[in-house]
Amino acid sequence: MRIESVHIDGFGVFFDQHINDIPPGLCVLFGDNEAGKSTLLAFIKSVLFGFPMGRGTVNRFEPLRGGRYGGSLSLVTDAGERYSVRREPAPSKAGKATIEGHYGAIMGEESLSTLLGSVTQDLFESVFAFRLAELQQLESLTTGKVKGVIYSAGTGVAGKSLPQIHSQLEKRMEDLFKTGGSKPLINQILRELRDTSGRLREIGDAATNYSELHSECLGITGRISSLERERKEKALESERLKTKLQAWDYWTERETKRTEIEAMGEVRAFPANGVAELEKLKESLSQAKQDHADRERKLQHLTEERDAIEVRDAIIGEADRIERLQQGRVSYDDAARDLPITEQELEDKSKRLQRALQALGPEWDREKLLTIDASIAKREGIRDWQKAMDEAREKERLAGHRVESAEQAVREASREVDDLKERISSSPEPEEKEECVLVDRLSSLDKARALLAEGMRLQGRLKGLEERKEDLSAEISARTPDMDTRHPDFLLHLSYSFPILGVIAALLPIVKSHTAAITIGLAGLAVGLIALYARRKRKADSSRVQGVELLKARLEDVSNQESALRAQYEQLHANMRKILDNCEVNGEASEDALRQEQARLMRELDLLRIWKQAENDLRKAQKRFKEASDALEAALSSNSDAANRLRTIESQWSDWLDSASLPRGLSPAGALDVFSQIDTCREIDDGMNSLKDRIEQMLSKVQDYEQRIRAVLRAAGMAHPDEPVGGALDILARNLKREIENRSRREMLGESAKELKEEMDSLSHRTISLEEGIRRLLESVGASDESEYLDMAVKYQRWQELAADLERANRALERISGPDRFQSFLDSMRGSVREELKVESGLFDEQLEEFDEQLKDAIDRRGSLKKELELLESEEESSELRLKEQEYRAQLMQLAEQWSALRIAQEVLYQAQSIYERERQPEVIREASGIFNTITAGRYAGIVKPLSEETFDARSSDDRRFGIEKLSQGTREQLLLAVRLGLVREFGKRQERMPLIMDDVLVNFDRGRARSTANALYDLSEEHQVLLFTCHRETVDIILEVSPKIRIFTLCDGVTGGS
Amino acid sequence: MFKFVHAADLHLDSPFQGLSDDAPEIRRLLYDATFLAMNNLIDLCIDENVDFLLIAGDLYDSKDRSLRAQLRLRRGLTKLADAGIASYIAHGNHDPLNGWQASIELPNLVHVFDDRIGSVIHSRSGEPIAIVHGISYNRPDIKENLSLKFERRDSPLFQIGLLHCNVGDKTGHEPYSPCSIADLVAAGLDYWALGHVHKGGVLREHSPCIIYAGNTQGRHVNESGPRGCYIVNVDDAHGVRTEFHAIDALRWHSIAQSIDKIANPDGLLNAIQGSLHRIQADASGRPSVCRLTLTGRGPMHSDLSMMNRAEEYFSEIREFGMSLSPIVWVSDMRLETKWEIDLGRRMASNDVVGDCLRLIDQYCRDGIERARLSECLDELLLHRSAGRYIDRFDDKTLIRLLESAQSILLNELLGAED
Repeated sequence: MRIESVHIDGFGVFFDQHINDIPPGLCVLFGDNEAGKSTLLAFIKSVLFGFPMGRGTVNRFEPLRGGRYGGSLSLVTDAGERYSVRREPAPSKAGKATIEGHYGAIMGEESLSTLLGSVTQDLFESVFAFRLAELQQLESLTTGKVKGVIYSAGTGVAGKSLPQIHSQLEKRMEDLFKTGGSKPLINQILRELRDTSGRLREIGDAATNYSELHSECLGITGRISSLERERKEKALESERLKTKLQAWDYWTERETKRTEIEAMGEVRAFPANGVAELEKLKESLSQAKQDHADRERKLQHLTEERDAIEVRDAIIGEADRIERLQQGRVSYDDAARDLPITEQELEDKSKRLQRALQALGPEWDREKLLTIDASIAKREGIRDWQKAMDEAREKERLAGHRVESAEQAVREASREVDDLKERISSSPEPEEKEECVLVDRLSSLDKARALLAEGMRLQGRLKGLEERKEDLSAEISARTPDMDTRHPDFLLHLSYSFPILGVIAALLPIVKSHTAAITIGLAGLAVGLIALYARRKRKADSSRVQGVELLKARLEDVSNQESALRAQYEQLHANMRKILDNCEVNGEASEDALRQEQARLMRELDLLRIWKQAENDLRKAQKRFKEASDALEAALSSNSDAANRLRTIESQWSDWLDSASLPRGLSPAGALDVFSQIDTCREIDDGMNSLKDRIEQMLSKVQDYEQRIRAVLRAAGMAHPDEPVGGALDILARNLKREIENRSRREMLGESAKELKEEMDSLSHRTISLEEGIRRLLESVGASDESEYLDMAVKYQRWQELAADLERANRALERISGPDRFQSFLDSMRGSVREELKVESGLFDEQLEEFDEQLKDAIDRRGSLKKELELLESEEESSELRLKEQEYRAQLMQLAEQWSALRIAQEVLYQAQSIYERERQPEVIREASGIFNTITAGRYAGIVKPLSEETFDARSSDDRRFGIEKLSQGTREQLLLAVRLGLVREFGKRQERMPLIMDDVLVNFDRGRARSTANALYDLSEEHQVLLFTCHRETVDIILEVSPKIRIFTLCDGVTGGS
Repeated sequence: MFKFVHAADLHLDSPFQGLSDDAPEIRRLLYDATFLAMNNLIDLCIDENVDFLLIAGDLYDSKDRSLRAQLRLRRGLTKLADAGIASYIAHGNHDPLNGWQASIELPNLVHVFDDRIGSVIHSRSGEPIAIVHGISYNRPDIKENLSLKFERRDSPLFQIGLLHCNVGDKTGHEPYSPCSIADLVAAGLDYWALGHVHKGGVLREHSPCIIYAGNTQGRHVNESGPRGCYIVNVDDAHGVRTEFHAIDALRWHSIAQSIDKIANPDGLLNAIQGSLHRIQADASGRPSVCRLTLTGRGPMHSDLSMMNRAEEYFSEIREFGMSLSPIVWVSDMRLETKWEIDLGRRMASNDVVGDCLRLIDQYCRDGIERARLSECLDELLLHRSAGRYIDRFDDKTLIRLLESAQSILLNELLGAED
């Protein structure tokens, strides 16, 4: 890609400035300080990558002299396509880019990225567009994408740098193992292994004691058995003494009770509850007598009360009729109240009927009202008449409208026809009437223009190549005599003249084959070198000779390229001529002529399209006029038919009114209103008839009720009270209720008296029976009276108590001694003394305690031994620990192998890296080395990139290495420039060739190296556009020395001058 | 006629080796496995109603001082004695007579041979049926040929030699009591019940029949396959019919899965799962422990080389093994896969990658250079604590490490991932 022209609208000191026709190769922009060179560099970067962003001190180059912020660049790609990229302010600080492609096609901002390929802003600023300050920075070449390019070109490593890989390997190893570390996995496992082995040793030691513990356990078990045997004997004896002491109280009790029973003699048996029985009988007898007296008093009261109550039977006999009268009371009250209201309602209706009849007309009365026919059929007939009349009127109205619109359409069609005729007669008739012929010619002219542009580009490149050829020839001839003057020896002449002869042979068509020419040249060179060697007798400086040879080879390449391009150009010209002939374009083809011819054809095409459209429109208008005339005629005829039909229907309606005895002149709607009023009158008449019937019914009901009340009063023997009908009925009801209550009370008192008499009889019988029971009870124990009976009861109870105590004492003694030894135990008790027994038992207790203590100690010891033995026997921890120990060993081996593999990898990588640094360098560095060698005129053989460091070394011609920090300012800059030029070449091999823009980078170079650098730049400009900004006249001179045809632009205070 | 069981190398309570980790679910099984195998041995004797049991040494490892091992052994032998079955025991290099032994009284029907050749007549219902000759090691490192001490008694009874020894020069086993088949034949016995070599087998079919019973339970990956004992039937004419019986509680396997032609993770997992299914089927209802080694070249190599990816596969595979019933415990997964690149072409390239590959190739071929390279591992191998547990790598291991290093370098240098 190259920049063809620049237009700055407003940017820093620039306002509406153009730089046009920037050549594809090397050119210089010359201007004093503050002329705007740096601003121009910033402008180019801004258009491609966005306005400078950031805050504070960042210079955004806002326009100082007016104009809209931004501008445009015209770019030509390697494929020859032209694009215009414009950058304008936008809400985003970076601004907005607009890209215009072929034929003005506008593309989005994303197509800018496509144009730039993988070149980012950082990369562009580091490698393609830089100032002296940036050139001096090493860091911009050792970071990001640039570094990736330098390394990946030769190491074969993708994505990462070797130092990164080293540090990753180191980290992985340190995660596994570190001398003196504690966290790495291997260190952790070693610690675990140590702990596990220690614990296993402890458990093993414990197991060794097992045997001793086992035999001690056996000894103690024997001693426990013998102690238990002795203790058992003592315990038996002690037990016997304790039994006697325990039984002592029972023994004493037994002897006492036995003596008392013997003293009581014979005792007669007495019933178990004899005394209670007697008391119960006596109590029942007294109660029965008391109850009999109570009932006698109650009977007397009842008889007196019953005799005092009186009952009237006549009123009770009318009870049913009084009940029925009470039920009919509500109905009577309603009729008496409603009668006067209904009579008033009848009078109102009569008056309403009179008014309704008057509304119909004076001739109307009740009789006429009832005779006239107002049926639904009659009313339907009237509605039919109304509908027929409405339809006839609507048809007449519609016909009128149709006539009016048809007349309007006829008038408009006539006017349109006249207008179109006028238009056609006023426009000229076109010559070519076929549209496709014109379209084909336009398309061919597009192709011819594209070919013309390509031809121009090829001519340009041809011109460039011719100039290059001339320059190379001049260079060759310039170098040859130079050497000649320095070494006037004839052998020296020989050493240069042979290669020159070869070159001349290659250039002139004397020698048919280039190979032959080169062979001659090389042979000549060889002879020359030998001669030189022989003369000078010292190590030859061959670089100059090599330079000449290089130039010759380049010259030959240029010639080949030129002839290929020329053939391509001729083929292209022939194709274009053929197309123009087809389009009938004569004479020399130029961009302007082709554009004019295209414009003429476009105009002709437009005229033809307009003329054809007008003719078509006229035919359509004439057809529409004829259709409108036919429609008007049909509308007029239909209008007259509708009027006749309406008149006939109106005459038939008048006849119908006569026949229905209704007045003539009524409309169908009026006739329907008369029928509605007749309905109202008839409804009122029906209401009056119904009211009359109701009044009659009410009168009859009131009279009948009053008659019935009077009859009941008579039958009950009561005089008619001086009260309305309602009051008399209430008095009757109250009397009836009172009499019924009196009768019930009398009956109830009679029943109670009867029950009391029955109870008194029963109580008399019970008294006799109880007295007999008491007598029989005394007889049963042979007592003569109650007091003797009670004495016998007391004696028997005492005997019973003594017998029970004796039995209890015997049972306790038997339980203590055991049933088998009971008798012998009683015998032994007879000879014992309690105090002696107590002393003897105390002695035995002390002996037993001693035995218990000894046994407890022995059992405790055996228990702890057994526990210890069980623990040892059931111990499983060691199994698990042994397993764990093996696991740790296995893990350790795995990790040790992992660590070792990493360590070996690291070692191998170190060795490989060393080989690489020693024997190989990446492509970029090789390119850069060649350039550095050229710039320093062979003082330095090249550049070395140590793989493990982010820097460059210079390698001198005697193979010594110098770190960049040890180089002089100028040499350091030359090295960094060489690396950048190497990178530019490397990028160019893979993608769009970006322009190289440098701002005064040669200032620290001496004249010789500046000139060599200019040569290197000139070489590079064969493939890349190179823009060199400078404020030094000297730099311009050096560039012009390389080639006087190099174009120089001037710049002064924000204004661009000519070249 | 009569029958007996011949077993050896029980190694009770000695740990499994080479397991780098385990799960709680199988931990108990791992340290109980040798005991379970012994229980199977005792049950087999009772079920088969044999006349006696022979154990040819290494019943336990004395240096472990495991009381549990000796108590459990007594429990087993007591069970046999209760069933009326006698046991004859000769000790070997792992449980020599001078090794640690707890004072545990063994039941009546157990006869332990001491360090002088001894002979016992075995009778059934008072009727002698066989003579068992045997000798125990009195220390671990017996270099003397003990078989020469055996001699046939002048008796028509069937005569058996019970010995822990190394016949011929069995690789992988210590050369204790070295002897030859000719030595054994010369003793004139009818049957040699041998112990020491863990991979059992019949050395000679008859006249005499010489058999290594092998160990009863494999304890590391190199002891894969069925482990057990021999049931020996002897007819009236002293004809011998032997039958191997697997009694191991847990079986070891080692499988190598190639990634050649496997294009995706599913394919790899399916292939491995198929192998685990086969192991499960072969294990006849017992749990298995398995080492998995991934080999070959293929597109899966770069996937496996990604950070933590191999661990993810391992976890998935182990989970699958655990889901089988009985389980297949995948003890570890070794990665020996290689990049799917043309190594020859890469080696020829003049870049760092090519230099690395050439250096590794040179180290693989040149033993002296390789030994020199291995000095870079001294930091670990001479470390005061690590050096106690890690021996210097042998040549075979060094070559394997070089291959691993090659893989690491290719991943780092060519891998697209960080």
